Amino acid sequence: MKKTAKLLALVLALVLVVSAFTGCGGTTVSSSTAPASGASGSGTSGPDISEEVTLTMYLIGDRPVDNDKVFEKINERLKEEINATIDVKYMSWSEYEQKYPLIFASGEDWDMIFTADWCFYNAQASKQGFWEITPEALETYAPMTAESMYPEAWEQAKVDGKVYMLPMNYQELTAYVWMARGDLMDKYGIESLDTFEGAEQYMQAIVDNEPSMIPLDVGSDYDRQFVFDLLWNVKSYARDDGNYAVLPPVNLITCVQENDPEANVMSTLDADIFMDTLNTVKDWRDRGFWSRNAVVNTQNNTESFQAGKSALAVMNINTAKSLYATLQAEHPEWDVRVFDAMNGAPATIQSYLANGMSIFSKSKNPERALMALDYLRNDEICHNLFCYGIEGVHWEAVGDHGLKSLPDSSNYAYDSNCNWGVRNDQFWRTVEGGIPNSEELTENWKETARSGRYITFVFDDSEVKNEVAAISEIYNSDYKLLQLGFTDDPAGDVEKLKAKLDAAGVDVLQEAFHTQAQAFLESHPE
Amino acid sequence: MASKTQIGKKPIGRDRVIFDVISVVVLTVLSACCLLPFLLVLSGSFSDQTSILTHGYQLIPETFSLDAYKTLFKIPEDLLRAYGVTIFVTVTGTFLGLFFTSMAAYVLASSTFRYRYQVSFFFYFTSIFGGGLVPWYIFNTKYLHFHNSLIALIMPILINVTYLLILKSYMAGIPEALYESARLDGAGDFTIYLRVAMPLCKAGLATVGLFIALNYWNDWYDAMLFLDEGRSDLYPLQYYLNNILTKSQAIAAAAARSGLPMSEVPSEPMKLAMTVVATGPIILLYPFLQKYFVKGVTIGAVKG
Amino acid sequence: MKRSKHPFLQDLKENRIKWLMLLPAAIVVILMCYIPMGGIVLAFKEYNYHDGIFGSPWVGFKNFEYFFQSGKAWSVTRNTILYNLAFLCVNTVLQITCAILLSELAGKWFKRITQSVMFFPYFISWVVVGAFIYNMFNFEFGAVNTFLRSLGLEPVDIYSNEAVWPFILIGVSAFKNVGYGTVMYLASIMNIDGQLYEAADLDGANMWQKIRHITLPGIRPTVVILFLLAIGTIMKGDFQMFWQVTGNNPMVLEVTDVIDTYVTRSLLQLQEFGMTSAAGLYQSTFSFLLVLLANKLVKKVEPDYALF
Repeated sequence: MKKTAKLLALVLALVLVVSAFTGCGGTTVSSSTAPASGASGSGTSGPDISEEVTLTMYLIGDRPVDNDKVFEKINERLKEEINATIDVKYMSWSEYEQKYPLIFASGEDWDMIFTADWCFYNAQASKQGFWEITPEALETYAPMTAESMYPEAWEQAKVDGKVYMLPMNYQELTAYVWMARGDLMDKYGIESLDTFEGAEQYMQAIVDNEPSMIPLDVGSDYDRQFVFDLLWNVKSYARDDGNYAVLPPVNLITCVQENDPEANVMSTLDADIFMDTLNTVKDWRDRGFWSRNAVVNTQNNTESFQAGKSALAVMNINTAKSLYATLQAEHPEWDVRVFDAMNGAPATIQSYLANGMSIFSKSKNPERALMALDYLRNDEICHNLFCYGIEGVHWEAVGDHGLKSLPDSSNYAYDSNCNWGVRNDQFWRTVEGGIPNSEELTENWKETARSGRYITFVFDDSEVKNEVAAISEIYNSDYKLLQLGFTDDPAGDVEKLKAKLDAAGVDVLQEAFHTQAQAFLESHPE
Repeated sequence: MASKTQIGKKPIGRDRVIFDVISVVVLTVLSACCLLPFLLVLSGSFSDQTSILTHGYQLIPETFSLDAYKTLFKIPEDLLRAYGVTIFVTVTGTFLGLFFTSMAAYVLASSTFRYRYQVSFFFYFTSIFGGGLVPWYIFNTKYLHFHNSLIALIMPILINVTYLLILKSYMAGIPEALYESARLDGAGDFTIYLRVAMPLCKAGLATVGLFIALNYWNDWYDAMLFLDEGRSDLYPLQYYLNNILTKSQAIAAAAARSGLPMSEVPSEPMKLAMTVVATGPIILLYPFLQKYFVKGVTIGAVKG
Repeated sequence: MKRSKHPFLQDLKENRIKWLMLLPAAIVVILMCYIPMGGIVLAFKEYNYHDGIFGSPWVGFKNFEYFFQSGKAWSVTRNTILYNLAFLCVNTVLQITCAILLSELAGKWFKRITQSVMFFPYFISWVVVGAFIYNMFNFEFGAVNTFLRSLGLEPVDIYSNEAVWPFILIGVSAFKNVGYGTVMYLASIMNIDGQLYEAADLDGANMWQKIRHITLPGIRPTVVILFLLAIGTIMKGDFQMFWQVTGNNPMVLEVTDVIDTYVTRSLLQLQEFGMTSAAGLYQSTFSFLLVLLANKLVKKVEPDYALF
């Protein structure tokens, strides 16, 4: 044993020596870049662009065939305006989750990156991965953005009071729709799925008459959120004394009554509509509307629908648009129909953070990067090139807000080149054609659409990381079961889950939520 | 050589017959269990997405379709190049890895080496404690400049401590007397290692070599970490295949999360076709190694 | 330390060829393992990019708390160890049996084919294995239930049945590793001195006696070393296997959750390197203590078989 101890000491000593060596390297690198970022805000007499720079921009996805052609044109413009060019690097869909955090750590030289609330924005911002965009910097280097930015978007992008992202300048309504098989609806005499009763009748008809089908084959983790979230929202907005807002991030299962001036947060389990929602999903599950093994199914319900295995699918309207076109071509005999699933609950305006662009904290030219982003967002030429490709080659304009894809668009497809972070309402164009009742649907939602009281609320989890981890774990296991109605004893299982949440430190988490929500209400009076 | 002929001459006893029957039965059943899933993979890779989603995996495909292979072979030059990279990396890595590992194993197995326990510990320790992905990545990119280089595909899995210790145990089984006689003939350590230990440990070397080769063949993680999207000329096979497969799944997930436009839906048969394409050549390596797995022949041969 | 310094230097000089032969492997290990090992400190830090690994602020044991907070630490640790022990036992017995059967068999072609076929599962990724399992056991269309229904029997819901999952996992592990492990033991059998068998033949020993008295003792060093190596990874669950085969099924988590899957679920949304490191360090330290103990026991009984 003594010998082993000695050996161990030797090994540890070696490790220490070695780490000291790498440690030195680490600190020199970081200290040398510190002044660069410090000097950023104090640029006074207009930006100096005398030196030509090449900026490296990371995007997510696969390089479109015509990427270089498009960026050649963008670079022409940028060279002229701000004496900079952009070199695009792609990080493929298959690896961005692993690689994204690593390029921040690697010491590689790059400048800008796509980010989003679903794409590590908070995590990287709180680890000082991004360059802070101060209001002054915005005024100086990105005047066009400063002018056009939605104030809510700017608020939303704040992490601990600081902004690290230029969120997209684009308002998008999100609402759930049902996609159903017209042929089956006619066969069983179902008129419409606009109400839950209609949807239930339809699903029941499938259970009773189509043994080879699953009515609503929910699978992936997103599907289960859709179903539960949809029912929850409908019930929440039907309440007399104000609806609940589920505070982001959803995996912390915390909500608050929107009109509560005290911002008394609670667990969603404690909301009075929870049991009601749970009973509905349980009822649906018990009636066989989805698979007994839905929790292990990894197929999206849209994929299942497309394969003809299920008769109904729930999705948000944007997914429906592209799927509709595909299905019309593949299975015209299905007579696919799309219905509003919102049942009177208002559509919500999607978070601006759903897409955005950020600057790397160790970028050598953060100011110029900001200027470049300013042009990509607000300069119609750059914006259109990035989002739709080259006019006359990849697309042609139809009216002021429409666009037709040309055959070459397969080499640079409309809105699918990780350009989402620079989307701008001012120049936005939609593709002609699609769901026949799309206009009608959007009209309905536009009337009721609202952005919730807490839409710009951002939770700072830095003090409660352990609780966040423990509760995420519960969200990803037990809560998942309830969301799909997998319980034989709803009341009992909810009690058990509450006990688990207590053990995981939910009161500490709620305390933090409460303080932050109160502060939020104070600083954001209606 | 003597032993081989002796066994051949021996009359077949009852125990041998019973044994053979048991062997054949057990091994046949086991092989069937292993073969069946592979046949399902093979047949599935020739079906289309819809039929897998509706009917599950079947031994005889409902519909016959080459779509999955068409996607994989869309750009045949790329696939061939990926094969090339993988073969190069596997051959180089296996050769170097086996050479370094066996040398070290020889020293550690030698009972005359005073510090064998300490050095074994030095190696073994790394298989338990590690610094984690981030520090490792930083060191490799910042200081070793692994970015976009083939070394990044070879170096990280060059030495596997588990294999080193297993090989050491095989080598320890070689009677010390054989080394002694060589030493008396005036041979140095390296010569003994090369001329005595290596030939005596063929089965062990074949095993460890096979394992190292399999690791190189299957490795896509290092490629993912160290190769840029622009350097597809360095992509090894598994990474190339993996990319095609997971790309569409990731897009679908992101689309569901954020309402991004969704492109073509992934295909289930692709997963399976990928398995077939990736397994093909390496499975052929195995029968080649089989000649080293003949009982009792090695030591007996040297002694005789 | 002082006393041993001299003999060490002397040995370095006397046995320089041996030391040189160790050098290439040692360099690789130092570069790939020892230097990055300094990163273990991350477990006690709140990492940020600006200050880097060594400059980031210390947080003490805070990164470990989440692991113990929800009271699951014990159950996942227990599951991890029990599964690894079960895999070790079942796989070892199966692999040794196959190795012995193969080594004694005479038929060349039969041997070749079975041996190669047994390697197939190794190439099927866990994702695909998971998909197979789902196709077999899913309630509505799974092969098992389709079969039961055709016999007029009640379908079974495997995915909500805790009792069967340990067996499925053990079975799947055996299936995946049988070819791989068999080769290892086969090589060990090949190492046994052929003269021992000849002598036994002359003594008129039968097959069973030869296996019992020559083959099994002959592969003992390999068994022991593989056992010791397995103890070193006893706290690590094969993440892909547990995640894919069970489909991360919350209904049976109680019996299928291992440390790696639990940590992944906890940190799915939280990209905290320190917390990942902390879990890793917990696993390493625990395994290390077990290995020290096991190695000491082995050294007492059979010094030649010890790892270090």
